[in-house]
Amino acid sequence: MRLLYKILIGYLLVLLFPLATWFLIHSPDRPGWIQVTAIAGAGMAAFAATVWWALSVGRRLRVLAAAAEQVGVGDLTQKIQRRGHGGRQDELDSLAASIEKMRVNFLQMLNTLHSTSSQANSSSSSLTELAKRINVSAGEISQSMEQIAKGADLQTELVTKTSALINEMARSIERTSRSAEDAAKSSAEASVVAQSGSQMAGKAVEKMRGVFEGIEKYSQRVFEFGERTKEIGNIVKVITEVAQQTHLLAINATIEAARAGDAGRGFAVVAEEIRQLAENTSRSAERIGGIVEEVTVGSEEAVQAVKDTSQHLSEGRDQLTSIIDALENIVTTVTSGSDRVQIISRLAREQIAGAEQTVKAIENISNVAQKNASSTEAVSQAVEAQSRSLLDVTRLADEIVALAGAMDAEVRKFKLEKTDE
Amino acid sequence: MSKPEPAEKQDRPQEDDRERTLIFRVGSERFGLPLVMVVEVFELASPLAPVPGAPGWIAGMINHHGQVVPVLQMSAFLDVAPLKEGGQIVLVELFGESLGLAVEQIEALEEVRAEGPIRQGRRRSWHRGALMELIDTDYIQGSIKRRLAEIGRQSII
Repeated sequence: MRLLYKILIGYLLVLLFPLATWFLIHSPDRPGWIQVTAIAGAGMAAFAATVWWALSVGRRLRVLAAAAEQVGVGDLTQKIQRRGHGGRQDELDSLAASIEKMRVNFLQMLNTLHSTSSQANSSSSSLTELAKRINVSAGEISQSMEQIAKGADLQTELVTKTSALINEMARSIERTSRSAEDAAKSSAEASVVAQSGSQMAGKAVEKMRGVFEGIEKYSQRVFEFGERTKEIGNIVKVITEVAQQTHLLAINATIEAARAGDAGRGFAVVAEEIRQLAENTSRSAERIGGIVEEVTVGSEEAVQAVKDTSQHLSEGRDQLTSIIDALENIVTTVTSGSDRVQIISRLAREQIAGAEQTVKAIENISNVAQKNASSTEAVSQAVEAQSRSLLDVTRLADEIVALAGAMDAEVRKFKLEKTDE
Repeated sequence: MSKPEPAEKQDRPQEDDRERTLIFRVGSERFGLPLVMVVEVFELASPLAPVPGAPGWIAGMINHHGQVVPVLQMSAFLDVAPLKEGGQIVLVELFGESLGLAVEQIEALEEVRAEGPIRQGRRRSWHRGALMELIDTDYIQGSIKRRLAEIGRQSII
């Protein structure tokens, strides 16, 4: 029922209640005072009822005001109480319902806002984290790129150096090749010389063999001569002994002749002659012996000299043989050396070609390395740009966090749950 | 046999002081011995028999025609360093006793004139441009006696 009706009913009650009472009770039989008292009582009752009703309305208004006040200061925890009867609702009831609806909607909105803010906060944090990680990665990429760039520079430098070295190597190989060719020529000449030397040494050995045989024959002769001389010596010894014995016999004969006195004089002369003969023989034999000794010594020396010569010749022949061997070795060695030198020369030429190709390949590598270096720079710049963008992203994320924080702070000003009370 | 010899010999030095001398060599020195002393010369055929307890100048003994004859080692006897072992024997007669002298080499039989003074029975002389010492009976006898007396020995053997 509307308040207007209630006010009208109340007003009518206040007017009609005493009137009705008067109408009912006014009779002459009754004293006046009873009648006045009844009417006053009725009026009082009507007034009391009206006051009670007005107070009731005021109380409900205060309740509503307090609820509105609470919502106004942000406490959304208190539910607004409704009156029990569902059927008869006045404007105050609908006001309470509206306030309650407002509170609930407000509460829902704030809750949504709060959760959105926390989500924004966490999303922003993870964004920042991501940005940081990306930034770190970008830093690493940047470092790697720097290293790559440095490596590329170093590579270029090394490639230049290597190229120079290989060129130098190629030149020295060329020199080697030329030397090898010269060596091949020289060794061929040496081979020819060694061959003729070997042939000459062979002839010398042949001649030496002839000389050797002659000397051996001569040695044999001298030895035989020495032996004969020794035989002479032996004969001379026998002669000497005979002469000595003859000498002694002659002395004895002389002594005997002396003892025979005059009879022995003739015999003494003969004995003396024999003695002198023996003495002469002995002396001659002695001289022959001396000569034989000299001859023996001489022939022994000759034999020794021939032996020595023979020994020397033999050694010389051996040496010549080893010279021939050595010369033949030289020929084979020089020939194989010549072959090897030719191989070296060919290999050197191949090496030169290889070195040229290597130089080209290295130049290609150098070009690629330079390209790499420039690409690396571009990548580096892109990464730097990315890094700067990421800084912006981070800053924006921070701003979002700040905004979400501020919003959340605002939301937190409202009481949303009954945890406190 | 020995008696006519000195008589004959003594005649010669009187007319000429040359004497027939047997020249032999001991070591590197030459010695002369009057031929009148000499009985025989011969080559030593077999080794000498040793004399027991004899000094170095006694060479040993030989059997000469069944007679035992002592032999003097002339190198030791004449104090000359020997050049070789063995050699020849000069058999002399010394106051009726036979005595062998072991020399290295009998060299010659020559007329030799004694020159210079006699010293201890040895007299110097020259033989073919080289110095030679002449020894005689007295020298050998005296030397043997003196040597035997030194070692207190009665006889050579």
